Amino acid sequence: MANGSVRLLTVFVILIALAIGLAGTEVFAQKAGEPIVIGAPVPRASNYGQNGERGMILATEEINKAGGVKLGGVMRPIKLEIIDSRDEEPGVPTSEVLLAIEKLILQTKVDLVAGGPCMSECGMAALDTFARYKKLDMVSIGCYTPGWDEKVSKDKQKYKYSFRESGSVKWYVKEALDLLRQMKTKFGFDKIYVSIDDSAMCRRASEIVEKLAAKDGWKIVGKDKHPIGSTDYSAALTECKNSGAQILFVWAYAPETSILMKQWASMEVPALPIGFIGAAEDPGFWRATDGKCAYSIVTLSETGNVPSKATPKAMQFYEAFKQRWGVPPRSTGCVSAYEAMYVLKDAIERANSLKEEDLIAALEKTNLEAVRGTIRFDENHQVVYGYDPKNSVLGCWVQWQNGERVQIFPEVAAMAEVKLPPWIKR
Amino acid sequence: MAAQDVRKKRLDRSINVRSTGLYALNSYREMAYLLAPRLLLIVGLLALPLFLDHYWQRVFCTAGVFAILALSFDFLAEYVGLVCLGGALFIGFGGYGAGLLNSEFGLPPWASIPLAAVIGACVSTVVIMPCLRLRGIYFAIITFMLPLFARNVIVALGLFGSTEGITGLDTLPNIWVEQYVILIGVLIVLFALRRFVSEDVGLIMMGIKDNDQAVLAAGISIFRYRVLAVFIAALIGCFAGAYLSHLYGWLGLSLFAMDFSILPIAATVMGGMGTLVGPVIGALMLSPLSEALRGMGQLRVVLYCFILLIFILYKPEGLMNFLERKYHQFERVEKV
Amino acid sequence: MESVIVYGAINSITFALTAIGFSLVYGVSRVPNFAHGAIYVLVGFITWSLVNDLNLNYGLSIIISLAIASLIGLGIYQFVLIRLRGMPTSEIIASFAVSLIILEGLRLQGVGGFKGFIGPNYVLKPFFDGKIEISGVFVDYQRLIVVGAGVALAAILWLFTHYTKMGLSLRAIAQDEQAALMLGINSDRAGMTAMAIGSALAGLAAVIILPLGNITAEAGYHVLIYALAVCIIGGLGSWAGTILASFLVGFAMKFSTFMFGAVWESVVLIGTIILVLLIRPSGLLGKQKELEERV
Repeated sequence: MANGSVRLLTVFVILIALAIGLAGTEVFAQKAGEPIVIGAPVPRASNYGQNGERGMILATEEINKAGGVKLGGVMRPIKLEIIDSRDEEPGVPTSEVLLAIEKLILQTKVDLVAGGPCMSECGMAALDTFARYKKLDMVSIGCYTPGWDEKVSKDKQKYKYSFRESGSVKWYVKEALDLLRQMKTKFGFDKIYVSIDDSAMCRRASEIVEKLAAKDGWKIVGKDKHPIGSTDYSAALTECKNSGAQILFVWAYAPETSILMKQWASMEVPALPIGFIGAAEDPGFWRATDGKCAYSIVTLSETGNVPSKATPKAMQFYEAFKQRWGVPPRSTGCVSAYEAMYVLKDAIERANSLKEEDLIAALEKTNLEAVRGTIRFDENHQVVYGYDPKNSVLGCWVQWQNGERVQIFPEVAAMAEVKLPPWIKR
Repeated sequence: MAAQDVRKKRLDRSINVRSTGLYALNSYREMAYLLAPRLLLIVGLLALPLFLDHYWQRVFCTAGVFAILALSFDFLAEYVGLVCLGGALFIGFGGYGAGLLNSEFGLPPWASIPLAAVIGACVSTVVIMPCLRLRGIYFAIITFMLPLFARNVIVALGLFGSTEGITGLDTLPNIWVEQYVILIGVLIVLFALRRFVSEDVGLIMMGIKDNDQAVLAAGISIFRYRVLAVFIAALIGCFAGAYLSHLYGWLGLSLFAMDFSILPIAATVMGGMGTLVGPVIGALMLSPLSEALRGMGQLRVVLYCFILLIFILYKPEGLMNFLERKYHQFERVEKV
Repeated sequence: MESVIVYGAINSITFALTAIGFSLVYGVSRVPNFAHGAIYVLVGFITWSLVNDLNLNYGLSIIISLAIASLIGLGIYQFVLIRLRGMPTSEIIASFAVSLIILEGLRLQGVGGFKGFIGPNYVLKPFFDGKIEISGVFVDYQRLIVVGAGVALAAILWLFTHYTKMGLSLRAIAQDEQAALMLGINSDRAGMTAMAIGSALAGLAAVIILPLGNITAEAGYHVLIYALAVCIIGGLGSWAGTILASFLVGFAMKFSTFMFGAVWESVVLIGTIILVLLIRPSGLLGKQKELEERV
């Protein structure tokens, strides 16, 4: 029927017009306009992206409520242009993520970019994109690969536009070893069983941990490498039980790790789980494992994600976040993305300009008191972690106790002592 | 006395009849009738980058990659009878090939892209070969599984940068080169495939699709022709993949992303299966649409599949077939 | 070693449970139901929603979601597949599209206030909490239920297809559609029944297996792939072959984990598939269809 075809064609034309219309209504932010436009590529599909988004929006609201950023004698508000970078979605190629960043730079014409791709693969590729377009970038959500600062150090002139304010897995590994040393002195443990997700990052990181732990006097009595998304850990747990290990070192990000915890509790494996357990960071993990995750120790990467007295701003941030979003901060990204806005504000005010060269110089001299401690950057534009809140930022290791995540490390921020499950005999 | 019945009558346009065969050279009008759509396509595509701003030019480049993938899907599905649910496999092999040639051996893009296309095609064909002796459904299932397996193998063996990929590859000199390389690639592939399917080899492949027992009875080895067809489709797919890795200067596991498998299928069904032009137009439409819907996350995939489903169920001929029909024929309602 | 045997058996029956639904549908109506994995995951989430959001009794939720699964299967057949019978290209694409709509739809975030199902918090409670020891290997009750259910299901299906009218007609259509039509068996009705039963089986597998871990949308793709792999190795359309193949694959994967490490699981799987395709192309027990399958 001719009518049917005409109808179909009209639907089609409407669809196309809609697409073009939607695309055409992009904000064309002028550089000389009032607000300072900060582009924020955020992986909305993942928890880390949501954390980062919440942190950044909270910070922007606070800054704007206090008047904004002082530039050239005028108070200018910050305008966040959040775009879904899609980099944690499983079916999405890195080219899409880079295209999102290009959209911010080329079409929305932002002044700076903060947030950034969270996945390491995308983050590394993005370094080249920012170098190509000479746009300032503050990586503040995840992207912990040590390859990042290696790459920057190899060509500091090319990659000078990028800063990483979130963290590096190198430091977290050091914290892990220091924590293990603490366990050694406190409980007299000496055997470790390692269980990791099979991804390049986990593999490399665990190799470093094993090497350094062995140097510290630990005996690695077993190792398990399971495919990401594995649903059955019984083989590894049985091996762990039989090996006599007292520490179960885990490095895994798949949500299926909750199965590992449940099986660990059911099998009453006498080893304390410590490590980087993505699923265990979530406040809802207790409920999800029916409380079986008790006693597991996990890193939340940034002080401020759970109540702590390390810095005056830590509790302030925790309460503000909880009030704004109705849920406690989850983990990686909440604090660093929040702080990123303040770091940028501080740098813009000190440089008194939005020109890349001036901002880079100002950022390199950052010495800002913040939630995690004091923010400084090293020569590879990497934020400096340490144990002293007066000249570095602090990490955060928590143990699940009584339904809550309680900070137990670094000592200066600890709110409680490490407890052992009832079936582990000292 | 029965009530008046009406029926729709479809007739070739007179100009269509007049321009068949050699008679097309009769006058300029007939030649224009035949050339106009093709010229419109070529000139339109070549001129399009001049009207786009920098951002949309980048989108155009990725749309070109999808267009080539859609072409390979359409070729396999409609001209050989093999439904390939894993376009990502070709992109992955091509992308990894080009990236590795560039980073390990230092080959510049203009050498690594063609080389990677050929090598990637060989590897893809070898991997797919075991299932080519069987019915088409095995092909569909295997190609669906292969990209996911390829990812697992790469991660398991820790090869090629594993989950982090390799970045910092050479990119093409500037945006204009990037666009025109892919554009001319699309046009060449399109017209080459159209020519190919009218050759004897192409006819045999269509015969295999329609009735494989008959072709077998003619003493022709179905296996060999299927291998050839897969090789050709893999060649163009790997070319697209190699180009993509040099577009952004990166290679990684996400080259095997499912997005590369789904969008070409949706583009082909929407654009018109069987007409090789349709998939290209479909890809050029769906790609920007996907960008525009960026804010909606996974909704874009749901949307593609929904469009796909509606088209398959109610308008399986697709856009190009519909337009072609309108161009060559006219309809008229007449009383019986 | 004992753990390999015990967990190998459990793994195999898990595969069998998930694959049998797909095999049933393909055997009867020669339509590959790519939405199999999607229905599996969907049932998991529906049960979760019924239990957690509507606070219904667990058993009741399971029954309701199985019913919903059958209805969805019926719906897919009625509205999508029936129009495309006989066009293999379109059938595959259409069921693939349905599967993607469901799986990606479950991941939708923030559209119209719908908060997608992502994250580690979606768990179904196991039926019984606890574990027993079998020759030195700890096995929790849920896994035993998986084994029990698998065996029971296989027995029920065998009885169904050999002694009930409906089951016999399904087998008839699978063997020779023309002859069955001549005997008055309605192939469309049989196809609908097969889809409904297949979807319900997928749902049943979901509610039994998912309490072992958590529910994620990605599992849909994995389940589909394992079901497909098992069916190819066993022979598309052969029910006994599916079961045999799932044991083969289940044990092979556990052995390879034991000997070489867990990373080689999928390599073993794809290796097995390619090996079977090279040596015995129509699958281990695909004897009946061999002439048709080979081209």
